[in-house]
Amino acid sequence: MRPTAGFLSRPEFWEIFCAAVLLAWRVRVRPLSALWADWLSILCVFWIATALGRRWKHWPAVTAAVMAGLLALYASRQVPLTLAALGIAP
Amino acid sequence: MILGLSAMAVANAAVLLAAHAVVRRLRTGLGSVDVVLFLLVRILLISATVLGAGLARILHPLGLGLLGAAALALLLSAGVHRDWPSLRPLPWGRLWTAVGGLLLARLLLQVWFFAPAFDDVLSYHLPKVAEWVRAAAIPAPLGSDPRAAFPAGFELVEAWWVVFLHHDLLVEMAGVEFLLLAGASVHALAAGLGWSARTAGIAALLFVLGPGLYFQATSCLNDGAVAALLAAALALIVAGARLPLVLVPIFLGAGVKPTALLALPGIVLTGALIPRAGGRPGAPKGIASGLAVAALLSGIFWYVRNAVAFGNPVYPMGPGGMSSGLTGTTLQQAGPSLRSLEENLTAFVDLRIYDELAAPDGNCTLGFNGGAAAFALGFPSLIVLLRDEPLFRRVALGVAVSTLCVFACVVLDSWNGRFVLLLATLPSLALARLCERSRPVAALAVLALGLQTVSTFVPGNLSRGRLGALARQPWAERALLPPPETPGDGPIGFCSDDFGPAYPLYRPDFSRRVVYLRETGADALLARLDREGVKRVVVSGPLLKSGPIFDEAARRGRLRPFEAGPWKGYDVVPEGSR
Repeated sequence: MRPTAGFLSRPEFWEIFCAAVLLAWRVRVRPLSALWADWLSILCVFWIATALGRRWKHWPAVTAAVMAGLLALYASRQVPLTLAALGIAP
Repeated sequence: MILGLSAMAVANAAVLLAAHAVVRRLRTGLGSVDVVLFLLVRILLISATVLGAGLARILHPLGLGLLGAAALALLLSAGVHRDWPSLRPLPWGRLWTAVGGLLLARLLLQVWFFAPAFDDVLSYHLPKVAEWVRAAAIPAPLGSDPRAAFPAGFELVEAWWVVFLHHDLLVEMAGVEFLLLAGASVHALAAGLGWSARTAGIAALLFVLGPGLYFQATSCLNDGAVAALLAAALALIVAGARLPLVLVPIFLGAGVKPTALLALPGIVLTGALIPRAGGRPGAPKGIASGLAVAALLSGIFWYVRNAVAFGNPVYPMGPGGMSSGLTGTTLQQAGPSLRSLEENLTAFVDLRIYDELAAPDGNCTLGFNGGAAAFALGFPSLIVLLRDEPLFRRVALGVAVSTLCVFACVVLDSWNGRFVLLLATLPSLALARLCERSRPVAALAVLALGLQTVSTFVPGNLSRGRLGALARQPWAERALLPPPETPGDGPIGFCSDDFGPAYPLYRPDFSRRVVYLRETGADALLARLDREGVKRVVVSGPLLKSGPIFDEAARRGRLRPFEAGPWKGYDVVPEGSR
């Protein structure tokens, strides 16, 4: 009996593998202090978590929380530019 | 003006009715696909008409108006108008109609108040259109910018919107045509994936309100048109349309910009992964093939012309790509390169996806300009959706391959995010689908759409008072760079060793002739100026090659330097009055 064979053949394993490889690349090329705000790293972690836990009953709330965080990240950087373009910010 | 307005109304009515006549015979049985086909056929008819009229030297309001009147009379006598689809009851519901109406009204106001602004547009896109309208024909490229020889399928549609009024006030309407196609294509894609009409509508809205694509439509740039045509090809593939129909947007795209061909492997892959549905009632083969042949002729025309004129169908691209005539830096590479792929991908995920370096504009300056919804919600939705939706997975794989192919084939520069606008279809579709399943995600999507709506009011390149300055100008004279005056209202000369904004010199009503100066000696230059009656010459950029020629002419007393606002150059001193 080989308990790992089933897991290896499941798509989740390959999803986690791909996301982990991408995440490792980001860890290598980005400063650790900046990873919390690195879009691709966040997506990779979300991908791994989705592969592992999307049947969890609170998963929709986790998804919404990740998206809200990313929206805040985008808005904090982009909205000042938009406001400046509209002439209502310095 | 009355003649022009009348001719424009008649010709547009004829094209609308003709497109309807063609599409009603295609009968795909899918409403959203029929809308895509209608918009595609309209664009094809406009392109073919302008191209044909230009080659026949009747590219003027009277010529096109008479053609339109004849076509309209034929179509009306055939009763095509009788089954024009009714808009009552409203097919989209009141809320959607109100939102769509408000956004359309805003878009039309932007068309009215915006004026061409980007360097590429002023340097080589619109000077072509100006020359066509002035000549009532499509002459060989005259400009000093070698990129004037690039395919000009998008400019055909721009010419349609300026030729009747002999004015560029509505030139951005060409982009609006393609923005509508982009929205309709994503709607049809979602419908083809089996999703609800509401989801399809949300996906379309998310896509067209992506700041990069949206501002492409109001900036006289052609990358949004390419994205729209590729999305149309994907929508037709997913709908199981006949191959000739799928080829229509691809051929048109090749005529708009060669980047459409760079993205082709992904489209082909999607086509291979999604075999045509057997049960779908197909379009009559003859009509579909006829449309494909017309699109092929319209798209391939530019390559054939370049092959004849320059001995190279992709001129000014050579085996080594294309370099700046002034600095020698590579503007465009030939073929794929792993280095470009790595650089573009790294720039995309490290910097551009955040849209944090510049306010959004049509050129996607230093950003992807996909918008808040794509960045924060769309791509995470994609991770969730791709696990459950096999058909969507195939589309996503094709779009991803297209994006990678484009990244591999273009040199990294500050503006090439605009080449991969098709990528924004995926987060738009995924987010719209996830909104169906999750109320919190839907609420966040509304917030993100609100942000995108705000960020698509004023493009970054028209900020800092530029839009206000445009709005204060009389509509007939609206221009970002008001042109310099010329004594006696005669022609004006233009010289640049690299590229520069020649378009404003024509004036918004194309009333002034522009003489492009490429002489290689002072004697030839002065002889040309005298022969053409040029009293003022505008120069642009550092004249590393032509500078000594102008210096020599000035030393002889025949040229006197001038500066007027953003313009500089030389006034021509008549022979004998020194």
